[in-house]
Amino acid sequence: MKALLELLSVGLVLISGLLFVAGRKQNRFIASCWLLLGVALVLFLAGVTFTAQDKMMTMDLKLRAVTGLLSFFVLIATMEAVRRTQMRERYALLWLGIGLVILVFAIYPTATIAWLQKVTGMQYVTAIVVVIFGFLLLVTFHFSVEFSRLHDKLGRLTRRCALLERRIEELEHAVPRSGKTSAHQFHALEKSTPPPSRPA
Amino acid sequence: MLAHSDPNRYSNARLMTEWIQESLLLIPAFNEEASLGALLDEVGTLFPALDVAVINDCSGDRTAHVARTHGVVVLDLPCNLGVGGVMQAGFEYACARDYRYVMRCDGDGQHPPSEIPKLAAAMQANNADVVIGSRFLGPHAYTSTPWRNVGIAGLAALLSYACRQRVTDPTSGFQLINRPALHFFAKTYPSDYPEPESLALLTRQGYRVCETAVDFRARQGGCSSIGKRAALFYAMKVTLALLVDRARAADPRFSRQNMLEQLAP
Repeated sequence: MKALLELLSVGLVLISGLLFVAGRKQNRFIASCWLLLGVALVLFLAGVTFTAQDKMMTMDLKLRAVTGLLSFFVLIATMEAVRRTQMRERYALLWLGIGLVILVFAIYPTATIAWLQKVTGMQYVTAIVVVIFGFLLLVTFHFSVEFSRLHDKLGRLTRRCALLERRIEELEHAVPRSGKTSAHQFHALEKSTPPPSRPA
Repeated sequence: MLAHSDPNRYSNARLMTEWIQESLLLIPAFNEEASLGALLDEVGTLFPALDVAVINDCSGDRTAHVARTHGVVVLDLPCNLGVGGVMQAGFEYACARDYRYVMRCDGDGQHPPSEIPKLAAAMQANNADVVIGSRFLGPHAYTSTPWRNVGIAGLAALLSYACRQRVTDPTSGFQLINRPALHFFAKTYPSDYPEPESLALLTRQGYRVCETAVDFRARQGGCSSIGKRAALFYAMKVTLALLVDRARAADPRFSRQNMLEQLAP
């Protein structure tokens, strides 16, 4: 039974990967989500049929299914976000790392459990929760640091912008008027016109 | 180092005129169209020779327009940065124009510009780098809501310890700053709620800070940027900043001694 499940998870990776490459550009993400949902149903049903035979086994299977799905979701969502240029590659690397670690947990539970128990002495469930939680903590911490840095840069740019605008105004006062709009008039003009729409 | 200052010390009118000519008044403004006009009129009649810069923190109202119609310099920030970023923009501007003294006065009219000579007198009397107008030192002690008073008292105690000198009004934005301190602030100034932290940074770098009694007025318009919940955040943020600043090494480039050497002709 375990071999079957392992085969299934590996097959899933392949299928979703194939869909990823071959799928139509617009619907890739939605297609992957549907695929994940279908797989979840199948695994859930499989888990239900196993219930009668071995309860512990089913728990393990369900957990593997959930972690596997989670990892697929993380990987696909990350790739999709990078493709749509919503995420930069440097952040994507972090997320891909998380997705891969979770995937390893789903595919090789016995090996990872053995290793984790040797290192930390934790059970499988606790270990997975701790690993995922730890990674999420890392990511949010990383973002807090990054946001602070961005805030700093934004402040510097904003101040420079205001000082330069003032300088332009002064220079305009110094040279004879050429009938063009002054800096702050231009600014008001810019505010009143709607920003250009993003290219699709 | 408290200065119960006497404005008559600055009796030398010529000296005062010269002093005003090399000073800049910074007015941070966020949605202050209701009170800014009156303040600018008052400053204009009291000190016609004083340069004034209004820093508009991306207001939603006509603050920048009001300032422009009064003929003062307007620094128009394209994004809202909060008081810290606003003041740093003003300090950078003052540095670029090489002003010798910078005053800060809030746009809501709480800080009466007629008290500016008191600050100047205190700076001269105490040979201070930064003078703070304190609303708690004077005979007409200012009272606020009880919770806010408790917060300010706690902050004052903490800051007095951090600065190793008595500070009565840590949140006051009515300040006079000389050239070395100005250059220090232009390089590094705290972000949100900067006043208490900036004092701690100053004393740590060897700058001399003193307070002088000033009668504050009631707010002339607009509303406080610090609501009830924000006040709690304010207290916690400033406490954390004060503690962390102690644990951080002071940058020797910005020490008072170094600044004086750099600014010497």
